[in-house]
Amino acid sequence: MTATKAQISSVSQLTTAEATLFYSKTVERYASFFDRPEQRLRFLNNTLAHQLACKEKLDHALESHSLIKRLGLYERLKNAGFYDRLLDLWLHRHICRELQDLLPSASKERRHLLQRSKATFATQLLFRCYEMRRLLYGAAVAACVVALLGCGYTAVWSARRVNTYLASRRQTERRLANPAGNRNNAAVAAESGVKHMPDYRPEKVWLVEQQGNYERYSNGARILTDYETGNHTRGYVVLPRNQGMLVKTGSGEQSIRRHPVGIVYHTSESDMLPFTPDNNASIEVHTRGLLEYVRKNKSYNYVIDRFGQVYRIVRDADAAHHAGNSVWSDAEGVYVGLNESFLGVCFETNSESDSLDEQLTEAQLVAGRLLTQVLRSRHNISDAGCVTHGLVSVNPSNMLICYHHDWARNFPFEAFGLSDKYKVAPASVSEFGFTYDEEIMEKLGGDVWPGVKVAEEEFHSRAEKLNVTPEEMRRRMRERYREEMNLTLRLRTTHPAEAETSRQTDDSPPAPASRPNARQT
Amino acid sequence: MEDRNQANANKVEAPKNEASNIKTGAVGLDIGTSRIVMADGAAQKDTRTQLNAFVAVPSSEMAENVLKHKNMVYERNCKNLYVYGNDSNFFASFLNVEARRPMRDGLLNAQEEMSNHIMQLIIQRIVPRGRGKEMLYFSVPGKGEGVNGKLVYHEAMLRNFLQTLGYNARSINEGQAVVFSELQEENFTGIGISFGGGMCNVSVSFMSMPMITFSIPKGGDYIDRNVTEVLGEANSTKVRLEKEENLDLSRQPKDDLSRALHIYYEDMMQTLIERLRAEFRASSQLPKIDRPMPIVLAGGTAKPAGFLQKFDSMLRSGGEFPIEVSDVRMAKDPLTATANGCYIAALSETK
Repeated sequence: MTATKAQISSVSQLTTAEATLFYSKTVERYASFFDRPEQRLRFLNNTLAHQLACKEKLDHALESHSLIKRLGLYERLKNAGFYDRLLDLWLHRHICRELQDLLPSASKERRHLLQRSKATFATQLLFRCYEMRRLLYGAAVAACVVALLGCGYTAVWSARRVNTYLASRRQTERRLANPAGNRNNAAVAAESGVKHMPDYRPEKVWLVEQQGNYERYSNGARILTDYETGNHTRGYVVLPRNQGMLVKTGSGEQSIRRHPVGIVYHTSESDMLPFTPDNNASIEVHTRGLLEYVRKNKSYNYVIDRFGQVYRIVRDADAAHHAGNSVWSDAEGVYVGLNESFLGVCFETNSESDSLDEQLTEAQLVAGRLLTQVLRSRHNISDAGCVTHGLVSVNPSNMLICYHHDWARNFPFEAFGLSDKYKVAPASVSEFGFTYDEEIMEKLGGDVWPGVKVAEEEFHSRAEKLNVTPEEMRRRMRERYREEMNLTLRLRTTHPAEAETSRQTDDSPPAPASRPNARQT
Repeated sequence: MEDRNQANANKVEAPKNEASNIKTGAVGLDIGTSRIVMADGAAQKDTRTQLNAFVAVPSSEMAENVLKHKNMVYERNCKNLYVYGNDSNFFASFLNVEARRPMRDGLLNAQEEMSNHIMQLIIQRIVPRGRGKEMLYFSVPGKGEGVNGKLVYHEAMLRNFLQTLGYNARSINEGQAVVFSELQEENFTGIGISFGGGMCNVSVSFMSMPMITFSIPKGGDYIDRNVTEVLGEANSTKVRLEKEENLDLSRQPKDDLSRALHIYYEDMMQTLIERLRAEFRASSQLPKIDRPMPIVLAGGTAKPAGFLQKFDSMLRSGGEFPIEVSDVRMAKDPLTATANGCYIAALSETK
């Protein structure tokens, strides 16, 4: 036979008795693929000859390297079992090759033979895998490529996140280091000499040019009209004060007003990509999505994207569904349901999860300031009428303020040439008795803004004057608020069905993405 | 010496020659002391057997005419006519002489002048000529007492002759051939024993590799010779007939002849088992085997009824065996198992 004497003596010395046993068990499992004795004999002989040749080759390779010998690695490898495992690996590879060669080449015949052989399922599976090894190699390579791409993408994504985080952290540190300028990018504008003057009225700003899809104004403002749409015409009443008390208005036609008296600033609370040059295309895609959503829902009158482009959505003469349940006041009186009386300006930005510090880009800051000038000039809006959504939003069901949190603090009023409305006593508290709870205080950074304290005192003194408890006064004013809101809804010039629809969508989230700080009505 | 006038002889032989003209494919050849068996297929029908014996008669025209009349195969030289192969049995009975053997104790018989030539003639009767690359495996005995030196000569002579027939001839241990024939399901792991006419051959195989091989100089001829001697018979014909036709080793002997046969059979088995034990104890290179090994018996001497049971009981009664034995079994066809094993070996190396 093919076995030499050396082979015969070596078969029992495949390193250890266990190795020999393992060898015989492995080979025997595969031998059962062969029914014919000569085929099985050939398989056994070839396998043994190959295994002994491999062992000899491995021994020679390990013994011929002086470094391996000097370090005693040969013995260590043997003792650790790596030597036997390596031989096992070679054995399996060789067995599969032998099977490929010795089994019939016709696939049907081969399949039949494999099916009726007594080999274990694991053995058959292993051999099938070997048969399909090229396919598996391809799949493995594909998986590696996908994994590499995934790793690369993850690395880039993580780097961007880290970059964003670090940038945010640097800004926070800068604000902390310079409390006077703690107004995000407002600090830049503030330092450039723009200061709030209580009696300041902006210069007259006029339309310079009107082309197909934009308007250009004398102060440099540029308003894009691609997404412009209409909604129902404004219609509201002012609740005047008489000796510090609200006067009942009724529903007389003569008191209905149809021009905006103020501006409410919002944030879109949509998903934000890192503001980096390589995200230009993606940022614009997000912006387009936001604009489509706002136009469809008629959510705001204006949107300012992250590159500072100003889009008009709902025309100024029409109301947008931006403020819902809300209260504010000026020298003329109190306004309830500010959709009808105030313009909604939304910045495409988002509050960070743990803070209400909204992020404005430099471009948004400049554009916001210019737009404010345009709107104030066109509609003769006073400084007192420029306020944020967080300051005006209320929840009548639990009589709490700050139902929506956008710009509930840190709005850069000074950079916009406006007075700090956080110091103004909100009419929601002083007139209607809305209040706040621990959760709101926590979200506002530990305390409500200063104007609320003043407003609370006013409300209590008013209750005292009327000789009722603040709770009783609050209950009454709650009813009053509801009456005024109902009146505002009735005053819309559109038919009742639209009014109803508008009412339902007033407090709906304005952006396609989630609004973490918003509470649903 | 020989008269090489084969033309005449061949003319006579031609109708009875079993070998076809040219052989393609593998061949297995069991060259035993009493028979030569050729296998060139897995089935029993693919085997051909010739007695490994001859009868010499002084050359005469009358004797030659008788042979021609009987269509017998013979060889003639200046002195004698040689009838060989299966015809020798009939001619020996006809002349009431003992057939002579070209082999003795498993090897070429040095005492027979014509042994080599006659054996070649017998082989040629059953093995056709090859084309030069056909694989042929022939059986040789294992090493044993008084065998070692002669084995080299025996093996070389046969190989050279078979190569001249046009084969790539290789030898294989007789016991190992039994393993190849009978232990496929065990992946050729087990013990193969061939009880031949001249000797018994044993091979302990692990995954087709012979780990232990040996032979004992006791076989059918040893039994015949000794029983003939102790019973004072003139020749062994009566002993052989009793052995082949009536002997039942599972039953108590009923007369002196059967008693003597029992004794010598037991002696042969005992010698073999003891030697097997000794070989296992002496071997330090046996691989670790985690399951019992089977033992398979073959050969003409193992043919008598009750042989298997007798061997099994003697194996198990002699104390603990060095290895665990799963079962003792008889080959499917004890007479052709060795040739079949040679054929499988040859086939395994045929591309």
